Amino acid sequence: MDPMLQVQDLSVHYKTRRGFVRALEELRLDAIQGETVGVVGETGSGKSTLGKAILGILPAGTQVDGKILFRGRDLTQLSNQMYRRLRGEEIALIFQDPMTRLNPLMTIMDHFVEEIRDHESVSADEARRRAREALVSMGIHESRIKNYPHEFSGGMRQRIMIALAIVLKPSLLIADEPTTSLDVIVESQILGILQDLKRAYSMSLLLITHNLGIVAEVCDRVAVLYAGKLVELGPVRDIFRKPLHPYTQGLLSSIIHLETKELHSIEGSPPNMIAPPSGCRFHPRCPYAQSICVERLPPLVEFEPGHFAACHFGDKFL
Amino acid sequence: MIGPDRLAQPELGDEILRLDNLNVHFPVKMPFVQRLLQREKAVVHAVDGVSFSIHSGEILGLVGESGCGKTTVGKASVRLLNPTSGRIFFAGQDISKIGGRSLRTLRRKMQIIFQDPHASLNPAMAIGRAIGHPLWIHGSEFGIQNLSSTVFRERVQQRVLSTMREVGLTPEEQLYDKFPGDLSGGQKQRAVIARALILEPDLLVVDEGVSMLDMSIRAKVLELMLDLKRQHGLTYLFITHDLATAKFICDRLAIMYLGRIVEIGPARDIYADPKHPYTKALLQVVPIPDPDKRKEKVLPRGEVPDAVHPPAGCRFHPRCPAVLPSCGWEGRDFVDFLDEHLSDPKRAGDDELVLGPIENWRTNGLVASLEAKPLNIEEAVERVKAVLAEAPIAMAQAIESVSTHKRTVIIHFRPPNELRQTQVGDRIVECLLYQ
Amino acid sequence: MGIVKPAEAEDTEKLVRSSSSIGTILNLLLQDRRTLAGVLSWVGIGVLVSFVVIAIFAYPLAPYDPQRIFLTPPNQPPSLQHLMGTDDLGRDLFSRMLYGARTSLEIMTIGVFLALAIGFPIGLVSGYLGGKLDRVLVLVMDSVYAFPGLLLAAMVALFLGKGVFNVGIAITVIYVPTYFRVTRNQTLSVREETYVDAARALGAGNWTVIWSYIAYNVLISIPVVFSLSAADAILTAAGLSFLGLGLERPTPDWGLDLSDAQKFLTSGVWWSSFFPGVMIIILTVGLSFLGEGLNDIVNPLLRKERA
Repeated sequence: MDPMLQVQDLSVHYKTRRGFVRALEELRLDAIQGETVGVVGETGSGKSTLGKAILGILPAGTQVDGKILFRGRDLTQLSNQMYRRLRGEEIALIFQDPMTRLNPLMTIMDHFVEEIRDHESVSADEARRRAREALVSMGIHESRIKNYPHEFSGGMRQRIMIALAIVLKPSLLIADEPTTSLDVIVESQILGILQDLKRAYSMSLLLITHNLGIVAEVCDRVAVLYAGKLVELGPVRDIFRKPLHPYTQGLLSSIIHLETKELHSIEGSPPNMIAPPSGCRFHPRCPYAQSICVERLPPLVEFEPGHFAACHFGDKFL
Repeated sequence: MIGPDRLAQPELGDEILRLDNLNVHFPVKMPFVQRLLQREKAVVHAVDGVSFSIHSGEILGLVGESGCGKTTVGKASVRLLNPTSGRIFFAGQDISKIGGRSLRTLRRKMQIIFQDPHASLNPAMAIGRAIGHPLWIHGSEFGIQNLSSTVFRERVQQRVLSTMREVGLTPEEQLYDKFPGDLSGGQKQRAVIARALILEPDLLVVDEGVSMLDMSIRAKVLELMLDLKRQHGLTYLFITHDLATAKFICDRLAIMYLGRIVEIGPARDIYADPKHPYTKALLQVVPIPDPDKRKEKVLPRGEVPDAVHPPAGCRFHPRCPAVLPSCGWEGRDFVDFLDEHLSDPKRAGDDELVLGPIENWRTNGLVASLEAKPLNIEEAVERVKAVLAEAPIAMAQAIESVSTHKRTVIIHFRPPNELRQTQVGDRIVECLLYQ
Repeated sequence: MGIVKPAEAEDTEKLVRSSSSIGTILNLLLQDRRTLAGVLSWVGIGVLVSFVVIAIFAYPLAPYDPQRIFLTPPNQPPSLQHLMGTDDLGRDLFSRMLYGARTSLEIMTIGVFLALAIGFPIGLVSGYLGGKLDRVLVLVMDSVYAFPGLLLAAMVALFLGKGVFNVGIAITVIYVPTYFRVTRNQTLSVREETYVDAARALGAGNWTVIWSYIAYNVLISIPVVFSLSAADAILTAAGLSFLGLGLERPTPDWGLDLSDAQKFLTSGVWWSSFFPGVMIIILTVGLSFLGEGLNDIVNPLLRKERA
């Protein structure tokens, strides 16, 4: 099946006060219809930049190279107007903080009506009907549809944001740290909702997070980012059972869960995104680094069917 | 690095901290006129009757979701907040009401580390100066008359450098003059720990000390905390929402929900055999980083309710999967259920026509009532009973009567059983299932 | 709980090695010198510095004594001998403009610095301690603030009598509430920061917290207000002189000269009104540029730190 989303050699650079930041470097990624891809990374990985790049909402002055193909169309070549139609209708984004999406001066109903009528020419009544439907499916009482965002709890706001994102039934939903600021029980509820929605509308979900626990629970495939580069990509089981890149290995071993007997961490500190390390960007922290790792950037190699890693010694870990 | 030795029970030293029925209530912010018109003072019951003690050398974990009051307990323990009532004892001394100079002197013995390392350091102060500042603040207590003496300055600098070495903030000479903005998250948290330790306190309250750090460096900071505990004989109150981290590091565990402790006891036993339904729910949702171990979860319904009007009886009862009729059902619960029922067009049918919109219902403690004026009252009563047939069994069984009085439909709940803290094996649980 | 924060990239060479607020701001100005805000700020600084130089070196720079009356007919247009012409009393306008800078800057300095010296500490204490003291102070300051500035200054000037120092005091009175407000507002938000809680947890008393933890972090927002209020102060002082309040006649002052020159405009004598006006405008606009530029540069920083 042709992938719905294909990111090819995507590079994103932007200028800051302190210098030129290389947020993403030659990233490749794809997602087919109906699957959930987890994008995992920590500080400086560039994972949030990816979501914004796909949606075309990077700050002005950001340099974008490479291609983002959505259903065959290159999004990097899209005009502002066309992008606006695409957003909401075909690709939607939900953030960590719902209040970045919700206008405190508009009722929930207003948000929905605006979103629907921005994209489709329907009557106000029809828009309201669909709004009610979407909210009820999220478990929000109809009586509260005239309330303002601040009158809801954090978890409810997150649900509202999700409902807004899917009301036009997009085929791709990008979720950037959707549950990081939520409590664990609410987090489970929201993840459940996302999965149900995915099934009901056969949406693809790009889940951007630093939490490997939720990745294990909901993702089909996983992409691991480090210092703006893709270091490993593969089916979720392969990534967890047989991580090929030392960073993935380090990350997995540093997870603290209920059966943890020993604590592990990765040496060193997050990379400097203005002057990243030469060659393989992970080499200063890698327990297996050799001179080739300092000199040459490792290519992304398919070590197993569907399982890619960017490490000069990936085959040693098979 | 292996975790603390779990085979032997930690030697129970002296009692360092004891909370005795601590209450911390905050006034609700509201417009002046509303404040005049309210019948009873609206307060946020952040902490509502919490008691526990920590002994020297122990790590007590305080676990719960946001809004449960754990941060408030932490801050109150070091008297950054004033208790509304109840008492706090530090090393046997009642510190609930002390203030001014004696409080400041006490601060040398107990310190707190906050969640956000980026916000805990003064952006205008260099690291070296920030870490040494507690020594300046308490200088006079060290018998130093002249704080600007070069001898004192040098001694402070030496202390700071050696503390920085101890927490791994190296190369210490270079980092000494840097500002917080120049440091990474992990380095900042180490600086915060160094600053907290420099006065050699006995008790350290850690409020989510590693939650905002990258996972790959969390372990280092946790290791550091354990090392410091061993070397300095520290006692920790470890506040977190992450049960996995708590399991690794804590000796004893207290689970909090909406201002109260629902279960408290030895950590290992609680994880092996959780008693309280909320504890069970929390343990269930801890993510397992293994894609083959995905399982169905039974989650509590809804969300944590607001702390201004906590549910009656057991505060967890509206969400509890194992709830009993005696757990504290009241008028509000029926109205909430009815609201949910009426929102779903498939279930509601014409119920709204018979029972009226939800705004017409009134609640007062154990009673929920409806002015049935325009409606057919007999039909309304029948419909209420029909709706109740679909309600959670425990709630339906908690209803004493559905009756009418003049033109009002009245639903009367049975008073709940008194909720008490019960000893169950080696721990204390606050749940009617065990009474 | 929250998202893990991005680590600050290792700092590129700081051009000015200083921890103080001034040092931070200078660094920002140098780093941002090519942006619009940076250009505006540097233009403003240039203007301010030029006028300070003029004021200090008025004596060697001025070709003539500003009070000297030339016996040629009055109201001479600009010429090689009198670059800006002469006024209706036959005095060289150019020299008067140069000395006028001294007058204006003296008034501005006294007025604004004194206002800062009074408003800043009071704002800090009031904002941090809160309570009844704060409520009373806010009431007082807001009342003064609500008064139309020029009117209030005029009243104070009338009361105190004439002279540069008195006018300076009049200016102070108008601007103390501004400094108080800005300081207090900043203090209120800085007070809620975690590091202030941490300081109290360390055992710091109120004065230590205010001095070591709050003052510096509030200070960074002052230069913006400083520049903007200085600009306003120049205008107010000029206005006072224009109205004939505050300064004795022969004192070289732009406002005073502008006032005197008005009546000759209809006769075609444009230079004695134009040049004083231009001087006022340049200095005011320069200071405004500095204030606005600084605002753009400094405030995003403030927002970032608070995030």
